[in-house]
Amino acid sequence: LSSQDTPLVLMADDDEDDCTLAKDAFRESGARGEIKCVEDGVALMDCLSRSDPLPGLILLDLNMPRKDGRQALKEIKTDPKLQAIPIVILTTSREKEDMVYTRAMGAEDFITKPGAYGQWVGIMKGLAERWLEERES
Amino acid sequence: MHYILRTALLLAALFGLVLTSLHGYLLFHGLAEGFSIVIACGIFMIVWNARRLLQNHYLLFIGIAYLFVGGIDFLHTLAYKGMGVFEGYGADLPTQLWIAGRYMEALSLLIATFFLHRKFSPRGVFIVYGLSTGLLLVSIFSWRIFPACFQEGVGLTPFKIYSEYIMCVILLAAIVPLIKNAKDFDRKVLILLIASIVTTIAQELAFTTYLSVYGPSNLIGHLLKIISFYLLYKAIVETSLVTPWNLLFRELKLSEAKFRSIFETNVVPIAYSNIDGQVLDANDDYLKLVGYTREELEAGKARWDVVTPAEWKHVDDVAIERLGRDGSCAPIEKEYLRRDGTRVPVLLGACRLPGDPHQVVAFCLDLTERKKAEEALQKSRDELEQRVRERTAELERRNQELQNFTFVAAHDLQEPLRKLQTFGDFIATRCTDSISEQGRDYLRRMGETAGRMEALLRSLLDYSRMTSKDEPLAKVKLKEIVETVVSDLETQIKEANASVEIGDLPAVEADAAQMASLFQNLIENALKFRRDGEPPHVKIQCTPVGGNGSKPGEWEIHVEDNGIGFEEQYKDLMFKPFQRLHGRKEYGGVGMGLAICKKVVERHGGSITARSTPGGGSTFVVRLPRKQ
Repeated sequence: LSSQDTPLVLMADDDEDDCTLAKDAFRESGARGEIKCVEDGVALMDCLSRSDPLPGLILLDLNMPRKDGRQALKEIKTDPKLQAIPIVILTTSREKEDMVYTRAMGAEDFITKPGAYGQWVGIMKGLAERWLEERES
Repeated sequence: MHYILRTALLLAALFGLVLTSLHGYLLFHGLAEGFSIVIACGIFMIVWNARRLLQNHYLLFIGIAYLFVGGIDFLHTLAYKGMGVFEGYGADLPTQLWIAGRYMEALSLLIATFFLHRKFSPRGVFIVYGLSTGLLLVSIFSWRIFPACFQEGVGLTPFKIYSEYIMCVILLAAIVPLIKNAKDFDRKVLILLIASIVTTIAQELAFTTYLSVYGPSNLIGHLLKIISFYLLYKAIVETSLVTPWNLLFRELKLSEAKFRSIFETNVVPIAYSNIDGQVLDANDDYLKLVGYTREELEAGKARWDVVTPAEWKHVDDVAIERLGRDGSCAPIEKEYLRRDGTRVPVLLGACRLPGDPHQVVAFCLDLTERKKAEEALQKSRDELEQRVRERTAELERRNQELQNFTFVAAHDLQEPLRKLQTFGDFIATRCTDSISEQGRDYLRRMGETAGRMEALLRSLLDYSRMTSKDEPLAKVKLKEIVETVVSDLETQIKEANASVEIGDLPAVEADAAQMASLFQNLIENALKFRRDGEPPHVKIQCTPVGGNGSKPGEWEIHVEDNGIGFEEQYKDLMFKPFQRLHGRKEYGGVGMGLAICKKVVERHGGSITARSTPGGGSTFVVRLPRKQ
C-alpha cells in the first residue's frame, strides 16, 4: 500500500497507555489506516513539518509537557498549510471551558477519553468513518 | 500708739461733751442724740446704696431699721423737756419716744439675726418700718394710748423700768446668733457689733434709775449711747468706707481667695495672658510645663506665642477667634515648645477675663502620659490587627490550597482509574474464554468498584469546583435554568414515570452553572427516593419572604416531592459530604448531592434546609437573597 492509500492519524499524547489503547482500538475497529503517536506538541509540530502527505486527522491531548495541546492547536489552525487538517481533542478533561476554548480555536470535535475498552473501539470507528472515509470519497 | 491716741481723743471728746452739760443739759442732750442720729442716717445710707452688693442681709436689715430708730430719736430730741417744740405733752413725751426708739432698736437687732442666712426685699422692709413707725407715733401723739413712762416728781413708771430690762434680755438674745454665726462676719466687725450691743445693754440699765431727765444716770446713759453708736459707726460706716472688702465686698474677697488658692495649689497649670502673647502671671505648674523660671516669666520671656510651635499656630488662631466671639473656648489639644526645645502635648481651655477683652486665663493639662498610653494602646491594637490579618490570610491560603489539592487530587486520580477500567474492560470482554468463572465474577466486582470510585471522584470534583472555580454572579432566570435541567433529565423522568411542575420562579443574581447543579441534584433526589408504586411528582415554586423598606428580603424556593421522606433528626447530616441515609444497595449515589446543594446556596449568601416525615414526602427549602 502506498502512503497515499494508508490514511495517517497523528496522535499527540504523552500517555503511552492511551497511545497503545488508541492503536489497538483503531485496529480492532477495522478502520483503514494507522495511528502514529508523538509525545508532545513540539514533536507534533516537528512531525507535521516533515510529513508529506499531511495526516488525515490529528488526535490531540490537551495537557502535555513542553508544548500543550492548546498551543499546538492554535499554531496548526493559524498555519495556512496545516489548518485544513481536522483536529479532534481526545483528553481526560470534562471541563466546559476546555470544550468552548478548543471549539473556538477551530478544533473539529472534543472527546473525553472513555473508561470502557469497547467505547474506545467505538470512538475510533466513528472517527475513521467521519474524518478518513469521508475524505476519500 | 495709734489706738491709745485715738482712745484718748475719744475720751477727751466725751469729757468735752460732759462739760457742755454744765452749760446746759439741753445742749448736751442735743449733741448726744444728734451724734447718734447722724450715725443712724449714715449707716442707712451706706447699706441702702450697697444693698445690691451685700450678701449679708443682717447688715442691710440693721441699716434700714436704724433710719427709723434715728427718726424717732430725732423726735425724742425735739420733744425733750425745755425744747418747747411740742407744747402740752410734758416730760412723758420724750421718754415715751425714747422707749419707742429703744424697742425698735432692740427688736431690730434681734429680728436682723433672722436674716443672717436669709434674704428679704429691702423695699418691703422699708415700707413695714415706715408703717410701724407711723403707728407708734400716732399712738403717742394722737391716740395717746402709749403707756406712760415718766411722771413729773414721781419718776419713771414701772412700764418704763421693766421695758428697759426687757430690752436687755432682747439685746442679749440678739448677741447669741451673732456669736454662733461668727464665720459670716469679718472678725473686727463682729467684735465691734457685739461691743455696741453690750454698751447698749449698759445704757438701758443706766436709764432704769434716773429720777430727773436731767439727772446723772440720764447723762451716763446718753454717754453710753454715744459709745454704742460710735462702735456701730466703727463697725459699719468706717469699715465699709476704709476697708470695704471686710464688709461690703467680703464675698468678693472670699471668692478671690478661693480662686487664688486654685491658682496656687497647682492642681493644673494656669496662666493669665494677653491675647497678643504676653503671659502676665502663671502658677508654678504652668512654668514647670513650659520649662521657664519665674524670673524669665517676669522678664516677659515665657510668651505663649513663643512656646507654641509654628504648626500649632492655626489652633491658637481658632481659639482666639472663639474667645473673641464667645468669651471662652472649649478645650483644644496642641503642643507646647518647652524652653529646652522638647515638645509637650497639652489640653488647653481658656476664657476671657471680664472687663478686659484682651486678657485671658488659660487652664492646661499635660497630656504626655495620656498620649503615651494612647500610643501604646494603638500600637498593640495595630499589632493585633496585623496578626489577625496575617492569620486570616494564612488560613485563607491554606483553605485555598486544600481546595486546590482536593480538586487536583480528584482530577488526577481519575486518570489511572480510567485506565484500570479500560484494561479491566478489555480483559472482561476480550479474554473471557481464558478466565475462570470466579475470575470473571471478581473482574465484574472490580469493574463495579472502579465505577463507584469514578462516581466518588466526580462528585468530589464537582464539590470542590464550587469554591475553586468561582464564576462571577450574573442575572439569571431560574425558570429557564430549571426547565433546562428538567429537559436534561428527560430520560430519567420518563423512566420513573415522574412529573415535574415548575411554578413562577424569579430572576436572581447567581452562577448559572451552579444553580443548574443545585436544581439537578434536588430533582434527581426526588426521582431517586420515590415511593414504590407511586409516580414521583416534583413541585418547584417560589415566594418572596421578609424584607421591608430598607432590606430587600429573600426568595424562598420550595422543591417538594411525594417520595419516601426522611426522619428530620438526620436533616443536618444529609447536607454533609459523603453522608447517606440509606444503604448503597437500596439507593445508589455517593452522598454528595445535598452537600453540593448546600455549598452552592451558601456561596450565594442563602441557606437550605428540609422538612419531611418518613413516607410523607420531603420539601427542600432554599432561601436566596433578592439582592447580592
